Amino acid sequence: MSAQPEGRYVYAIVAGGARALRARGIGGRTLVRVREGRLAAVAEPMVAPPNPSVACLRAQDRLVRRLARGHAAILPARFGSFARDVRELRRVLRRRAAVLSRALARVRGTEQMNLRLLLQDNGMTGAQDRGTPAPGKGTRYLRARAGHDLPALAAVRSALAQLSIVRAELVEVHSTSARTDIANPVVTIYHLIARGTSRKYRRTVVDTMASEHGASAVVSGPWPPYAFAPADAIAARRSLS
Amino acid sequence: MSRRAPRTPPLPRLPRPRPPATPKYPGPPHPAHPPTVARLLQERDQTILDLVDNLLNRGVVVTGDVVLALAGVDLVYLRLSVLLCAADRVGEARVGRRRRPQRRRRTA
Repeated sequence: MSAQPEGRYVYAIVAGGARALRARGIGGRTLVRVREGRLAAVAEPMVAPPNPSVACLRAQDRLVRRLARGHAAILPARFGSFARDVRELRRVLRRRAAVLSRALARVRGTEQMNLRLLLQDNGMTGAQDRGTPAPGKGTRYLRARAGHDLPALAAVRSALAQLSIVRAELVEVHSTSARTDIANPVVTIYHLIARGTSRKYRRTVVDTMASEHGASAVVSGPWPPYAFAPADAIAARRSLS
Repeated sequence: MSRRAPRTPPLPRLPRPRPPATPKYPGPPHPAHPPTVARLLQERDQTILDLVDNLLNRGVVVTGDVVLALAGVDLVYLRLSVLLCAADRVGEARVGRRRRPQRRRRTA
């Protein structure tokens, strides 16, 4: 019988529970929990992380979805998250315990919807009150990144606000050109919504977008809350790059 | 001798039910967008786009090694936690990095 590899490929962070995991990972090994305080990483013993292929991405997503069904709060790990051994993984969990616990509390009982708005022209209202100076290029850029001045998004927001199902929102504006004043932008909005309300969400978006001209939308989900998992480890490690 | 009941004509074959498609909402079919963007957001490719976005660009970063390879040739090896992500994230990271102040050269 071959010894179990020391490496741990991480699928998600959950609140440490006692329930046994009965799932196999991408590598075919049974998943294990690596506990540190109140947190636990759901991981698979592996020699090296899996290859970044569509099949592996799909497999990981299936697994995370399955884990999400069994846990009220889950933080999916980014693809390729691999610790050399249990000690290293515990060290990461210990160091980031406060951030991860806050994030787990935030995503408890929620799921994520991805809404992509495709706008014609630059899709912004550009309407200015008389008397107020036009914003500069920097302000315009920041407002665009935050999703301000998008009538379609404003309409969706106000319709969803009446349902009271949205817990958090992230907006990203992607330009199809290199210019930052956004020509034909695609806007991605990640909504954290209460679990089980994705149908309501879709219906509301459909109804709202039916009356919006100059924009079309694509909705996908529900997803595990990928976009709401803290990525501040990136910031912590930037200095190393 | 019993007579066989006349055979009922076979039912016309119905088209196979399609899985529920990701709904696309009214509006022009993205005429203003380059074909690549429009194609990526088509129903078939959209799940892959979301998978890549969610799994490579999002999620808790623990730590990791990833080797990006193409046709058996290792192209990129990354030890840091910023593994595989969209170019704009890499750009952000570069903007956020603190630069060491450069020493002034003394001119004679």
